[in-house]
Amino acid sequence: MIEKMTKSRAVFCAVNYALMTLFGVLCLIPLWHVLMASVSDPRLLMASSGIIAWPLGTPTLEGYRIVLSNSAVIEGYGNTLIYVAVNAVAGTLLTAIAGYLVSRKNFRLAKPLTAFIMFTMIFNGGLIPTYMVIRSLGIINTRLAIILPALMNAYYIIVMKSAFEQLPAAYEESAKLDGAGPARILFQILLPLIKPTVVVIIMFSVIGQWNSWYPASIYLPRVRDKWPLQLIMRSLLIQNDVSKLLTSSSEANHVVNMTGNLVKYCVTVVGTLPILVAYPFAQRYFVTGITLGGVKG
Amino acid sequence: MQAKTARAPGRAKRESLRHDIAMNKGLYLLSIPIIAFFLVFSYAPMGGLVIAFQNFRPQRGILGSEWVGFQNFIDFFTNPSFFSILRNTLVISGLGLVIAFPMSIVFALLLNEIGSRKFKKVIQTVSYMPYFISLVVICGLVTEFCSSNGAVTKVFCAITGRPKENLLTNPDYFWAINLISDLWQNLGYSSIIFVAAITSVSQDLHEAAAIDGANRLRRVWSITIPSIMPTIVTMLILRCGSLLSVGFEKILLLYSPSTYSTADVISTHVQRLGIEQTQYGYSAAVGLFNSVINTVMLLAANAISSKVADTSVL
Amino acid sequence: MKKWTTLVLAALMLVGIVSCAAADTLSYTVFQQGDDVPNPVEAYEVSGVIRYWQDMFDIDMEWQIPPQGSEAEQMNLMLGTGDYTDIMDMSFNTESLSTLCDDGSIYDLTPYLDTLMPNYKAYLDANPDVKSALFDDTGRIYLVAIVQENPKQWGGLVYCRDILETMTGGNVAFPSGSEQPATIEDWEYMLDLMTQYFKAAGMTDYAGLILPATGYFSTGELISGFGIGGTDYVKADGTVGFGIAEDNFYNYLVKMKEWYEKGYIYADFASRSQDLFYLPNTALTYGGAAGVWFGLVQQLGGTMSLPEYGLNMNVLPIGAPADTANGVTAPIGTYLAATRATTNSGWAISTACSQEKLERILPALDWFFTPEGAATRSMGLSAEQGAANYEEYGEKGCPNGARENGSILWTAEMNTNTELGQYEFSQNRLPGLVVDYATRTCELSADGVDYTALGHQTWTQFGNSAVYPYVVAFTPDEMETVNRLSTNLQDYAHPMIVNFIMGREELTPESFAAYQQKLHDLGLDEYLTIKQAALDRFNARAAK
Repeated sequence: MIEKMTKSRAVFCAVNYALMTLFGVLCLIPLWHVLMASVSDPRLLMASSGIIAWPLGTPTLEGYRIVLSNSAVIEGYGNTLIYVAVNAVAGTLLTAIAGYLVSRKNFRLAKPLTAFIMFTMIFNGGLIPTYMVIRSLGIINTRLAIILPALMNAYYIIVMKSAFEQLPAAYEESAKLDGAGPARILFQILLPLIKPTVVVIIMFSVIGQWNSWYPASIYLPRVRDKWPLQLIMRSLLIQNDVSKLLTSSSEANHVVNMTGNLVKYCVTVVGTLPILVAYPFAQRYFVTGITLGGVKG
Repeated sequence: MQAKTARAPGRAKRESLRHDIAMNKGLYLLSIPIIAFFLVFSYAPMGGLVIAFQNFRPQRGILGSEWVGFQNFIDFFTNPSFFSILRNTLVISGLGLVIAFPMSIVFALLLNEIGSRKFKKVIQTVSYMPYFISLVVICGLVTEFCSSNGAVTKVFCAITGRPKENLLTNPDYFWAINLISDLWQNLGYSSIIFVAAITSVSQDLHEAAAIDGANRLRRVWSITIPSIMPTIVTMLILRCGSLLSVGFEKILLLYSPSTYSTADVISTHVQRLGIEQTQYGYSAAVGLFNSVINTVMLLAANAISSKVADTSVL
Repeated sequence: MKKWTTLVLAALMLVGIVSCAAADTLSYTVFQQGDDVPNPVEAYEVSGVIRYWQDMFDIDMEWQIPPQGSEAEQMNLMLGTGDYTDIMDMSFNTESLSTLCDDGSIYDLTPYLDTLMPNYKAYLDANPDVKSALFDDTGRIYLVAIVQENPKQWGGLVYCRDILETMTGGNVAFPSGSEQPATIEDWEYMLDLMTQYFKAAGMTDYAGLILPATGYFSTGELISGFGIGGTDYVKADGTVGFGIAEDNFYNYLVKMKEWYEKGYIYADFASRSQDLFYLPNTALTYGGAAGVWFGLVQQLGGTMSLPEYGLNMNVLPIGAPADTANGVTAPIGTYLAATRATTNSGWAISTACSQEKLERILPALDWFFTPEGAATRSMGLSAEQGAANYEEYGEKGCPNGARENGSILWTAEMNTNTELGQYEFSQNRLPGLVVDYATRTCELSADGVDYTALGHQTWTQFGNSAVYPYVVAFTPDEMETVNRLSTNLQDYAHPMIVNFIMGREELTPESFAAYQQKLHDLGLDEYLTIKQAALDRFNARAAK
């Protein structure tokens, strides 16, 4: 710390620490609840209400057995990894290019391009027309239908743009004098300078793809082997949907009901854990960002 | 540039464009894939918006469906619950803008004040976690806590001295419950961008100011906040642009007929009428109305901020 | 390089052509609702019955099972974009079939009935109720439907008899003198005992009667005891009524308000959102902390007991209570399940299917209406059909056997092992005639009571003549108006009803009259006029 520890500063720190701890605990509660519920006795789980602080009954991994013995879940993991990886790399590159373009002050296309991109944030054509376009590209039921439309979005470009705008123009000018082209300026000089933003964008796109199921349910109806994890999870999650019980003739039974509740929690854990584990690694770059200190000079 | 001002304006424009292209050949080349992407995936489907003016029958397609002019819009505006759902939408997203948005900045600033790097990292990681829990589970917990015997109800009634009741069925509390659970789930996540911005604020500036005798609060006020102002303004403008878009999934899970009067928003209305009953034209009309209002808000916010804060998105 | 590629391509094409020519089997894409199994496509593919049927007619089904929860959307998308499969399961269709046919999406099957589907035609001719449900106003039929020979009610109000037995020491004595609760008085006697029981057991979270979040059962349970139906119902004189706008609804509200104040009604009923995870509240019903709720046939008897936790439940079906104080001697009938076929259950053939394929699939589906086909479809393969031959494919190893002398029993094991049971019976979602599963249901009740029959008898004891038929067809314009009006009416009425019951809205004859007036202002009369006209057309068609 670069300042002295005054009395008021000490009080502030104490309160701040307390507040943060409290908030942290509040945030952990639902997670803990889900984790504990996922290893609880399904029958007791059915009849319990409120927060589960400790596994109910004898801890059991039955729910996980059901979820993980489903070959589709494993396949889904693989697919999700592909979608996430492609989007994190290709998507971030394109977003960086777009953000760079719209932040150039001496580029006549910058302003119209910004408006052009922003407009898509607000207006969209709706489900059926979008489907028609994707179909006319011939990529329905291929992985491209999931990857291509998600490559860029206006929001990330705007974030990128504001990061570029904070950099002094001097970098670019000196690079230009050295005869560097725009691609070199962008990738070799400017991008490393806004590393924290790049990491944030990568993280956003990873999370976005990780949690996405809707496009797959629309564009991959016939190829279950290309479904991402979340779509499979969702099928499992709503498996004991009462509407099904009401419409199906008579096959509903308690076992579905009972384990269904348990499976709901296990599915949440299985679908969430990897990204929770991965997140602290991305966070490390935030810290690196601090030492980089943004812009020197 | 100065020499050209004497010429005819149209010609000057063309001329300078040619000059710009020559100067920024690389930039123009890079623009091609970006423009192509948005043309294909965003603009091409926008043709579909015309169904807002149709009694759209999917099998007949856009060309074969009957044109009804503004009938779908009139239906929406004359709907008996139009004003109440418009108000609810504005209040719910307005609360997010006025309370949740500043809170995420404050949270990022407070987090930055934590001295211990380890503790900071733990809190940051933890605060981020609820974002990943599925909404169904989160809403299940909210329902549980706010039931007539739930933990939140007990605390709330003990403090206010009111008789115990199910908080979630009281229309007076719906906005608060929605806002607080939103904060709980999203505060950590929405502060990420600010945390990232704060971390790139120059430490040199801080050190220089400290030597000049500026205390911590003062430095936050005059160095950190101005440095992250562009980020704040950008985020604020974007939020203004989605003032009329309230995610319906959560409200759908939390509301019930007893709270329709404060909880029913445009998107849930569309969900009930448009999606469950396949009124494509009507949903498109409501969506278009939403988009137009959002555009107006976005442009207004942008204009104000470029005047006041000298930052704009466009 | 190029040469090689061309050669390989040519070779591939040749193989493709030869294999196509060799196989005379016709392949069909089918959009079909899946079951609650890990791999629904596989479930259809391993089903012995489906394979037997495919081999018999030399056809091959290519199943396209939409993701669960996205079925309706996929259906709309398919219809909206013209990307039809050959065969479409219409379970999630919301469009009118005649419009789909006029728009050129699906075949009109009427001309093929005589030539290709004689058994289906014969069945329709012999069963006018099914015929009027499946034919539309223009005299066309579009579906090969799932037809229930003998439909059973699958759910209704149930109550925990064991609580009453415990509280009275086995001497349950309803004021009306009947065995089961029959009047409002009986219900109050029952709910009072239940509330005492929950309190004595020290439960903080309990529910006497679990109402839906809207404050009433829209299908008419409970409310029918007050002489009215839920939303749409048909009065004795044949006119269509809107239950929650009728004068008698006031009596219902007064009673529910009184019960709510006494703690007979679940305190948190109104927060149960329509999201189906919360309805009915399983934590209470399965924990033995609920008295009366909307239950399923499968919950009847002792199946919900947990002896290992000292919970012995005896769940019985219960009819609506007669509001004798206001002159209602018997509830009106409310049950829907008597509909044997609907336009939402069965297969339509899309225009993507060629004439050649159409001519082969229709006779194949017709087979399910022959006595042999119907029995196979409902109860599985017999030994004569070579059940054993099909077992080797079924990795799940379901017990196949002859129907007579050891037919496939729906055993207790199959009931607990969903995988086993569901895999074997995935043909249940195919069109055809569903005949009684006598063997299956009897095996289900351990204590010798046929609860399916008991539930059906209790829930339908007042008949179903008052129910607005589910199969009444509307024109697209009527449909749009009815949908809009019904949303507006219910959006206003539901919050009012809940708040009347919970005491947030003052309930007096004047405020109720204002409520009724508002419903009229919102277009109730137009709504009822349309419903009436459609019903009249339906009745005229059925009479023909």
